[in-house]
Amino acid sequence: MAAAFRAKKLDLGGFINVKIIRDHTKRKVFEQFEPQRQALRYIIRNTSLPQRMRTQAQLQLSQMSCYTRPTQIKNRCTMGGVGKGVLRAFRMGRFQFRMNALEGNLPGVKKASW
Amino acid sequence: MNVPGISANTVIFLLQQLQCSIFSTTFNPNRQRLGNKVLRQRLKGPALAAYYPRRSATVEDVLAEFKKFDLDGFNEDEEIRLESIQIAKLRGKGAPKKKRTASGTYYAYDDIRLYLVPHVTHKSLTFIPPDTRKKGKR
Repeated sequence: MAAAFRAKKLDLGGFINVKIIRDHTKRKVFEQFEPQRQALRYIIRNTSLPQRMRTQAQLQLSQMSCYTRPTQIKNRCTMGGVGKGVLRAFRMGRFQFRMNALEGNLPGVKKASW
Repeated sequence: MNVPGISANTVIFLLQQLQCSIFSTTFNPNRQRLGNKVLRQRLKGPALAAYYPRRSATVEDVLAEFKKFDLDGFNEDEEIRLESIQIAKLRGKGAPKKKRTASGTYYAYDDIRLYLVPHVTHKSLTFIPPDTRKKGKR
């Protein structure tokens, strides 16, 4: 099921990991199905539409693949694939962030001491 | 505000209607839930899908382009890697060879099967002597 969504050819550069490939696939699938999801969400929330239609939309939304859900997406470290302690602004895990910052790879980031 | 002949409520109603038509918002005097907030949300898919760096030109791609013009180059990192593998092999520290048996791929549970008692009735646990196994396909 999930394999059907995966790109036939790897379209990622940088650090690659099974978990990163999976998360990337989920992101792309979500992007693809987002308008459909929003349309169903609109039908569900619109109280002026017939109840039957709204229930059908509810069912359809819940039966969509889990890969189309935004909650499945997790920000992972782009340098090491770590899933916890990831700084959103740098897309890096805390240790990778530290190493890169000390090396001077991150413009504007400087070690402070006071 | 007094308009002769029309009640104050009606005036407000009409004003709201006019306001909605001017600013192209939904006119909803009964305050029904119409789900318009879903339509107002922006799509966040493109931003989310651009999280990981995409594949760009690699050294191999550039070398392949070079070949069209009869130019030659080499991938330094790759050569260093292969060289270190050769050195490791010379020292006897290379990766182990994949084990193969006559029947094909070697499974760790082949050994276990030999110890199983033949009268175990479960299909997957029946004892098959190694010589009688099907040969040919992996």
